This record gives sequence, C-alpha cells and structure tokens, in this order.
Amino acid sequence: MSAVSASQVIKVQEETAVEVTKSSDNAVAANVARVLSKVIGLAKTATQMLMTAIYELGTNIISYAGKGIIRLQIVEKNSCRGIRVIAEDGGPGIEDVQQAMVDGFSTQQQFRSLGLGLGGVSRLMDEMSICSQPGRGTRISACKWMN
Amino acid sequence: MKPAIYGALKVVQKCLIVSIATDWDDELVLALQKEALRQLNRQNVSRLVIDITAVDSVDSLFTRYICDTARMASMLDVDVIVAGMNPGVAASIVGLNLDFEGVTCVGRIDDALLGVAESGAY
Ligand SMILES: Nc1ncnc2c1ncn2[C@@H]1O[C@H](COP(=O)(O)OP(=O)(O)O)[C@@H](O)[C@H]1O
Ligand SMILES: [Mg+2]
Repeated sequence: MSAVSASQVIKVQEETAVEVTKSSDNAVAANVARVLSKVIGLAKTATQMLMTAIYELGTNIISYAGKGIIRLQIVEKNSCRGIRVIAEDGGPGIEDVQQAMVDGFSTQQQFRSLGLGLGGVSRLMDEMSICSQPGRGTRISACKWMN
Repeated sequence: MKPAIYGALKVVQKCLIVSIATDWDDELVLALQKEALRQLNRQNVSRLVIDITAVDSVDSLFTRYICDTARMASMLDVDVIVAGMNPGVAASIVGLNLDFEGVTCVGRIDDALLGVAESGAY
C-alpha cells in the first residue's frame, strides 16, 4: 500500500481568492464562504463556524503580516464535499506553532489580544494544518466537511 | 457612517436598544459601544439591550467588544441583556472558548423588554 492512497486525495472543484489587508476584507472572505457553503449545502451552523474561523485567520494576517490572501475552495475527498480555507501571507512567520495554538498565547499584548484565534480555528473546523517559516511567511489550511 | 450608527440605537420603555448590523466591522462595533455608553449616561435608561438578531458571524474581537460593553454598563448600574443570539453564533463563541458570562441572554428582542425596572433610573 502506498503511503497516500488515492481516496485521501483532496480534489479542488472551485476556488475564490480574497486579498486581505483590512477588517472589512474578512467580511468579504466570510461572505464568499457563505455562498460556497450554500452551493454544497453545508448546514447553517457549520457555515457560521467556518465564517468565524475565516475572521480569525484574516485578523491574524492583518495583525502579523499586514497583508495576505484567503483562498476559499469547494473540495472533495472520498466523495465527501467540503469547504477549505487557505490563509497565506509572506509575513514574519510563527516561531513555535505548537505554542501559538495554545489558548491564551499571544505575542500581541498591546491590544489585549485574547490568543484564542488559532485554537478556535482548530475547534471550529474539522481539520487544520499550519506551515510556517520564520521570516518567510505562514500558510494555514483548514477544512469543514459535510456531516 | 454616522446615520447607520445613530439608526441602530433607540430608547424604548427605559431600555436603550443597540442593534448590530449583519455586516458589522470593528469600527462599527466600537462606535456603537461608545455611543451606547454616552446615551446611558444621558438618558433615563435602566436597561441596555444589545440586539444581535441580525448577526450571523462573529469573531473573538466582536465577542470581546460585546462583553466589554456589558461589563461597563453593569458598572453604571444598568441591566444588560443580549438578545437574538442564533445557534450558529453560540456554537462559534463556544468554539472560540469564550462566553457571555454573567450576561443575561434572551432569544427574542421582545423578551428583552419584559420587566424593565420602573424605579431606579431618574
Ligand atoms: N499569520 C501569522 N503570521 C505570524 N504570526 C502569527 C500568524 N497567525 C498567528 N500568529 C502568531 O500566533 C499567535 C496566536 O495567534 P491567535 O491564536 O490568533 O491569537 P492572537 O491573534 O490573539 O494573538 C499570535 O500572537 C502570533 O504570534
Ligand atoms: Mg488572532
């Protein structure tokens, strides 16, 4: 058996990219996600959780990298459809990803940031992965599946 | 920006009702917070109702602004009720590991107007 069987491959059926530099861009990205969720028939509550995750990822891009892109995709795996969010930036990167995931950990003390964004995304979404290189940037991918 | 902000605040039976729009952003929520506190100080109000009926997506900042507003209002001896939270918003707030601790929540805005203290506010 190969390490990655064909059934684990995620197929991208549709993608919309939103450039994020300011708070209102988060709302644009969240609304794109709402539309895509409707297309695949994702439940309302799941859609709202997905939108919250997008706000958190977008806010992080704005706060730490200044600008970046949020890609919203309709994806399919094992003939199950879902929405994937990919938040990418060319910012400072995350030094210790494991630490950044811990609730309450924040490097942004001056704005009383809560440090709940990344932990929140992991709970609000079904799957999450973070790729970050200090000095190069961050790419966070998260999926919400039907059922 | 101003008309939208002012349109979203009104006083009914000693309740100051602040309604947050679906497409809120940080600026709007902060402007509403500031205006609500200003009105609480000026008007004969015994209850602040934060109406989130139109809101269907939130984030940690939004939740924090609402909690802050509620805490400030209770320090000014005003009851605070959050009205119209839908299940998806509740699920999102819990997913963020946050809550509206100590704040009364009601499903419908009408219920938020029941039993407003007639005394206390002059
Ligand atoms: N896109 C990013 N680029 C660089 N650092 C990030 C990024 N996203 C998150 N971080 C780091 O991870 C920490 C935790 O993020 P988060 O859980 O959203 O909490 P908060 O934003 O409130 O600090 C941040 O304080 C920051 O140091
Ligand atoms: Mg954050």
